[in-house]
Amino acid sequence: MMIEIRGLELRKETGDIILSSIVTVNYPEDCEKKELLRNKPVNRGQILTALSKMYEVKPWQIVWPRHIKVPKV
Amino acid sequence: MAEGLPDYHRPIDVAIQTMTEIVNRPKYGAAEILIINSAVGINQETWLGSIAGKGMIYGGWITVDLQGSQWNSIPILRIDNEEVGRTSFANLYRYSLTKEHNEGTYLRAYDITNQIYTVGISHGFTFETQFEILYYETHGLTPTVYARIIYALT
Repeated sequence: MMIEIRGLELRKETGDIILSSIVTVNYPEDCEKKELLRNKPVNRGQILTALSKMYEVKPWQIVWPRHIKVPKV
Repeated sequence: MAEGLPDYHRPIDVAIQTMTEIVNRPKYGAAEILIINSAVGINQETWLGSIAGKGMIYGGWITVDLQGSQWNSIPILRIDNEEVGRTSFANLYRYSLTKEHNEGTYLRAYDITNQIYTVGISHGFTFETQFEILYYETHGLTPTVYARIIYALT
């Protein structure tokens, strides 16, 4: 199984900072959006680890396109 | 060694019109919604939300909820680090910037009696790396800003 990151959404809601990922699981299936991190540091490592746990894959099975940058608060 | 186009590719001849119609359009994923609901800082610019990726904004709105004035505060839309919307509610009203594409944001509500201020987000802006929503508060208060931005990613 391959996971491709299509986008990362970072937002504030009632005092929380929430990171959600929009990924494609096994292209060309549709995108799905899920909350990934809440009130945690947002960096590449944390994102890869969280995705890896969520989709039960190894970090090397996650495709991270070059144009996707880690969003900053 | 294999040569030529893959089996699922077929050449077309535009001159003799081997196909009746050719459709060429960018391909986007499903619509997604960025929802923001957050208090902002006093007399400062506050980051509220962002999307990292490549895609297009379909539309949306930003509004502020407070029992107090915000007419001179500034809702901000930043796309690929360029501020495409950075005009106060008052100036949007003064210069009648009430239609899409006058700026990234355009005025939808300006009610200084009931303190309702809303901007719309223009449809069709594409982004290559990210877009962000921010708010610059200028009245020394701590309003709550709500936003709902509809977008899609490639």
